[in-house]
Amino acid sequence: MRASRRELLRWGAATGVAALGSALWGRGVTATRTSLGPARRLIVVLAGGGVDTTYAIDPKEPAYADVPAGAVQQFAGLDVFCDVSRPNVTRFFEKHAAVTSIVRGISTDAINHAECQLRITTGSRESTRPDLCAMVAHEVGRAMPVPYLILGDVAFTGPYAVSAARVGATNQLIELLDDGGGGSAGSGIGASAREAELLRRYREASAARARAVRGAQGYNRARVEDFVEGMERAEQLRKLGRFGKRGETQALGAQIDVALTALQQDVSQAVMLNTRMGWDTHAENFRQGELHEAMFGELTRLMDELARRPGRAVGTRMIDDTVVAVLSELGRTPRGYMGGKDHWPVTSGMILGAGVMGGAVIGATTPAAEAIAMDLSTGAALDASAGGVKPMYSHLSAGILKLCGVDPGSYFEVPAFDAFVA
Amino acid sequence: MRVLVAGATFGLMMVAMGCGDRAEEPRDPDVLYLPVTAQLARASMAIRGVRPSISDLKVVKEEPARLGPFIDLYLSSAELGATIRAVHNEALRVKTQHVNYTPPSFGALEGKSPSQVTAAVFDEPLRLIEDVVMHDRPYTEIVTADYTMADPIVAAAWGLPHTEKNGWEKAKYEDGRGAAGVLATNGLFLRYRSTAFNYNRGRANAISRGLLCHDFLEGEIHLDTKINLADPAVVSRAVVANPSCAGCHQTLDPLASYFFGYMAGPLNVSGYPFALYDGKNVGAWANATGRAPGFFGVETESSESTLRGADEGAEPVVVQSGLPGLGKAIAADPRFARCAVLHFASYLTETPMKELSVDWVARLQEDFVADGYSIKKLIRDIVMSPRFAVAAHAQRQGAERLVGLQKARPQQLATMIEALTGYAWRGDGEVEMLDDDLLGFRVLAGGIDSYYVTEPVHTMNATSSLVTQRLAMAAAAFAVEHDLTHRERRLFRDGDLRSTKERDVRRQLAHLHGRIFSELVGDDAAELGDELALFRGVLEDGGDVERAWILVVAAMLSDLRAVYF
Repeated sequence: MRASRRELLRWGAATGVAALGSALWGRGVTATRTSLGPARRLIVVLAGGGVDTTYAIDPKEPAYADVPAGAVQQFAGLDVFCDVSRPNVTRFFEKHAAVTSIVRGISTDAINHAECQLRITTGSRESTRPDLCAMVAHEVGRAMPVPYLILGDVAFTGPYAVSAARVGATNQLIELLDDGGGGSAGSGIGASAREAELLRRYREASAARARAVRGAQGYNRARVEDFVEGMERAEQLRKLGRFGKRGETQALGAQIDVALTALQQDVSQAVMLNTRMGWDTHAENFRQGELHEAMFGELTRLMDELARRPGRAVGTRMIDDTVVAVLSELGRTPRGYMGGKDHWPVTSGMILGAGVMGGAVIGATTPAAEAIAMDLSTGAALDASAGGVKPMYSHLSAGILKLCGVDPGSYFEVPAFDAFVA
Repeated sequence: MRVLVAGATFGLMMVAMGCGDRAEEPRDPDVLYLPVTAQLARASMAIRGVRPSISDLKVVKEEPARLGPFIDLYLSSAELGATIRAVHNEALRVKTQHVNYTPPSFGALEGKSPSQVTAAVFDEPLRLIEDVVMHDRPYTEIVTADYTMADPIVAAAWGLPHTEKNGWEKAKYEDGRGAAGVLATNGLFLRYRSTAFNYNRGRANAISRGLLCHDFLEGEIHLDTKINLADPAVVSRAVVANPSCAGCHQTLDPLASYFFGYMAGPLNVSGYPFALYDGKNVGAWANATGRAPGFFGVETESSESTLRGADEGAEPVVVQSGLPGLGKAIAADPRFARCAVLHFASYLTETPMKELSVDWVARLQEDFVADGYSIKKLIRDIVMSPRFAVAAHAQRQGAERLVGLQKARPQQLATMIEALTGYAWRGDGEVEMLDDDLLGFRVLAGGIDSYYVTEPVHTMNATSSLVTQRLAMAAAAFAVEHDLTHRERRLFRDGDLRSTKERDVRRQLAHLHGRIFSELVGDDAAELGDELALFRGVLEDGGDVERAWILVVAAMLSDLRAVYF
């Protein structure tokens, strides 16, 4: 019998945070997902603003698109547009192409940032739906202290808000994790260990009463459970207390550091990062080059660390049980206008890490950067009349869920675009 | 001249129905409803963000018919103003602190922090709405008023007159933008700007979504990637001639054409006062989209137009051109009244707009219009409705969607605790810690930042728990220290607060139950057992009376009976 989320959380708190994740793994959750493969951690890196994919991951010919200086290079089967002015791009693929799948031709079918960010992160058009990280965290990591850690800005928790924690625009979270003065037990409110225990008992008694009356079932019951669970997660957060410095999470590099720690210690199952790099370059499209440099520099470090740090099982590395999805909500128009490029409803991204078919380009766009119909299980072009489908944000989300060991059918009615799964 | 075919009643001078004349809504036999004291508490929190007084609770317990008069009293309180602003901030999503939307702190704003500047400039449209509602004027004035509101920062930023040293007062832009309520506020269009070649379409959709609940982005749109979206000339042709574009743009673009007076592009402030609006540009649509300003099929720019209701004999409304014309058109649109109902009903019941009963919304809308667009009467109708007083559902399936526990929003939590204890959580002296995302914890507590986070969280999680506990502990320490040393008490009742005799402690605990949980219990009630155990536990652990009361009050302020209502 599966333990309830409360039981798992309590069990985790009682036996130590470090052991929590692996303990959960052995406690039935994996047993219910045998057909989906192992549960995996998820890191989403959102390049908010709209990446001009012609700068690296979706090379185009000048005859059809305005492209920067450079040339196509091959890396373990990946064709990538590179240039000496963007050495970090080259270095990244030299090191990590073998675990990288480039996914081309995802339609977001809109050109408004907020709307497209919603679509690409949740796979849906409803802001009340959870995003990919929230789904993965809830499904396979809900017993962790902070199943879903939000280090970026765009995120949608939907019904799983209780499993999520935002660090805040300036990493305010760390202010709340300070003991508050005078306390010795990390209560965060200056309470001693004994006082903290008294407070906990008080809360539990209150919750028990609530469950007996208005909180017996349904929506109300969920609110009562969220209250108790939120308090317990808060206590565990205080004990951890490693979330960087105030203001640090503005930078992708600092987000990566915190994310790696949280994932490695099984504090979190999924993390949402944001490059916070201003990809919405419009009239200054030339800035895409420097932005690529900056992002790929950090992505290299992220992948290096995932390959270096120990994984959950003995002898493995984090890269063996972590999926990284690098996504942008928009592409940019193939053709420019007065030096600028506008929003484009077709984008491409990268899926990296565990379970990924590395060195593979999945899908394609036309020479003019349009989406094409394809076989979602292989990524090969396939005419719509033969059953081909232009992959949408929802198909991609379903595929990423599957890769992370979550049944996409629980969330999506569309087939999964899972050609990037090894 | 075209005629808008609409089902609205445009005359505002309707005979107000007495609230007692409302047909009583039937109650669902499967739903358990709050007792009248709890309904009063919920109404007080929803309307004012504070708990009712113990005396109020006692009165309605004795005389349930007094619920209505108390709600009327709450609706006349100053605290309603913050709620009005909060409702409209969720609707319009204006109070962002995104760096790209923050006017720089130099010149006349020298020394002001980004938090202070954004808190002021984005409050402008919300303060205007508040002013209309607090004076119980027709809600339509939020888009027709001939003034705005300014505090010293707003006045300095935009060059508005300001006489008071601090605080908000009426002011007027003298740049010809006309009487158009929030449509004529810099604050709204500082938040919603436009890139050079998007020609104010984002602004148009923000207005349509926020004031008419018509979101163009919700339509089934399939973009045609055969067109070069980067070339304005190509796009201009496509939005007229390409069916996949024209379907929306034939109404979106004319709406956007009203806003060419507002500056487009990045915010390059060279000094203050800064002119965000320039009347010379209002006709720039002609060289941009080429679409004359128009409101869902009604052109208003080139000549005076007449809006006529579907009702036979309804007085035609002459619509002026420009922003005032747009304001009148919005006010006359039946979607405007419905949208107001949706926003308030959703906010006050913490129910997503899409899940509100269509029948209930329709009834509220009808009464709202009949009441002369009185928001106060609308709120009264909502909180007096059985739908507002739901507590639980007897059936499992029904219980899944019935919102029987509402969670205090961050601002409500702040005001509730300040009203109870006198403790105001402010950083750097002036920044409201639960209404700020740079220094404070608004989003971490479940609020919105109006940019990235646009849906409030109506449940607790780790960060909202951390915020609540931190605030509760600080407020408890503040209140206990004060009440131990002052004759006039803020939180506790009279009596010896240093006494540890059970009788005295119970007396205080019963009082705290009333104040913090809005529960009336006797001194000997079993419900006090948990607080008593906590109090005793602290003493047994070596703590003194002051420490015991601090812990008890902190526990109660952060208890689910306090954060949920």
